[in-house]
Amino acid sequence: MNETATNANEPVKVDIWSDVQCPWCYIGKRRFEAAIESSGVAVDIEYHSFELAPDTPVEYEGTPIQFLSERKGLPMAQVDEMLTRVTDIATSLGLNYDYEHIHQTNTVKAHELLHYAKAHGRQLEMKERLLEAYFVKTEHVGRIEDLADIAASIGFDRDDVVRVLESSEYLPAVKADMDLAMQYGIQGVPFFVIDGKYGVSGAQESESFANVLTQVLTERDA
Amino acid sequence: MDTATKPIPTFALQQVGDPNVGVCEGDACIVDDHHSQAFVNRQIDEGLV
Repeated sequence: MNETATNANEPVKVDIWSDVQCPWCYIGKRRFEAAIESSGVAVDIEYHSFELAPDTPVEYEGTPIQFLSERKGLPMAQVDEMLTRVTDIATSLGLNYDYEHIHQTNTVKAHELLHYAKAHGRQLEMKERLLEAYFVKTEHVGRIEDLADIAASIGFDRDDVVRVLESSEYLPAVKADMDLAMQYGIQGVPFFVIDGKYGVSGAQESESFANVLTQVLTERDA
Repeated sequence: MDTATKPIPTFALQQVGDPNVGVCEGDACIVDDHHSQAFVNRQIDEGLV
């Protein structure tokens, strides 16, 4: 992470821990974006990796409903009901989650791709593309070849993406983010660290995010 | 994550915001039923759905 910004004119640093297959992360992203717009506060966003289920096989055979039912020991109907609630909230924000066709998978390579994109100065663009790929377009975000296609769709060099993902060049960066999450005591995502001192857990309403951003600026002016 | 395996924070953060909002922990994404339904209802009331 960068040092905490202290100059009143500098953007507020926001570090966000998130996973690609976290429904609240996409919802939280939209709400935070709304907060940026409504507050008018300039921010510098950096995404960090958080693997919610690192033991998930890349080629998991089944739907997210089956996955959650198996993992949590809940009836499929109950899981379906939970996901319907999340989907309704996503829909209200213009995000059309397609849980009938989503590919549950392992997201470590997607996280490596996010670090690759960050190294190219395009992490935010990649983050949005991967969330859209998983929840809306129901593309596979676990396989290297599929991730390379996704990256190529927004202009990245496909062959180079395959090379870095096969070599696990950015795996240490993913693990470093997970270690940092542990140091912050982060147990769930999305998790926002604002200006290095405020911790905001979950997909808060945009007003809550805006209040924190405004408070940071107020403190700088004091 | 159970209590025994909870990480001990090295960096202190001032926690802000509603503690009952949607969050994903481990392989489960949870939300308080009443809160989420109230939110959807509000969105419907505001004509946003």
